[in-house]
Amino acid sequence: MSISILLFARLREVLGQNSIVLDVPGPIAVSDLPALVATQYPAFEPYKDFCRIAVNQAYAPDPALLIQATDEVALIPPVSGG
Amino acid sequence: MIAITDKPIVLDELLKAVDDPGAGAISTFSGTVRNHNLGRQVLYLEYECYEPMALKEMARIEAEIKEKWPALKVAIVHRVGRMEIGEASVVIAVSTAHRHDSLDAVTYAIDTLKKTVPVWKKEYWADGSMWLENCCAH
Repeated sequence: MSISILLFARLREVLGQNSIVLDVPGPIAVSDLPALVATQYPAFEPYKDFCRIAVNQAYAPDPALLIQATDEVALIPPVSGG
Repeated sequence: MIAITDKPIVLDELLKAVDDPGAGAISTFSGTVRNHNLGRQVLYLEYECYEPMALKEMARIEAEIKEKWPALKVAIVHRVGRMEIGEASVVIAVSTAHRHDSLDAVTYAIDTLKKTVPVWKKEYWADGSMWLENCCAH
């Protein structure tokens, strides 16, 4: 299956697109997402420990949560609102 | 009133939104674009957001305020796009019966917004630019 992942701010610029598609064998845990993204998109490697993950427009509360293909997933770099 | 806009924020609209006959206090916070940061002269800022989630996180702050304080009404508006020095990027207003609650609630709102709401700002100087990250220092 594939997971579409929204990108913002620095990540959008570093990866050169608003969203990426991650190919995975099946549902994956939230905690496994950063490493998988870095494998398929090496430019993400320096950022993989600094981003939060949002699933369906909320910070994923549980690292074990399984991401489904239909979920809206976003990588949230450190925020700077206000 | 929870909103994201690409137009200048009008403080008076937030004051009207939190107007309440039971209010003895309305506190507001305006975050404005500063002309310097970390020793550099700032020309302007550009903000972007993950809008549907930003709206949800802002609504969560409103709900938390109403749990923690006897707040009557809450208004939070964040602006996105390019902003010049002195313009407001965010304005928050809270009405309560008594002043300490509204002052405390507004402080909580901006402190929480800066940690949780998915908004990002990029600072532009004469010779470059940089995405910023909020931290605990200021």
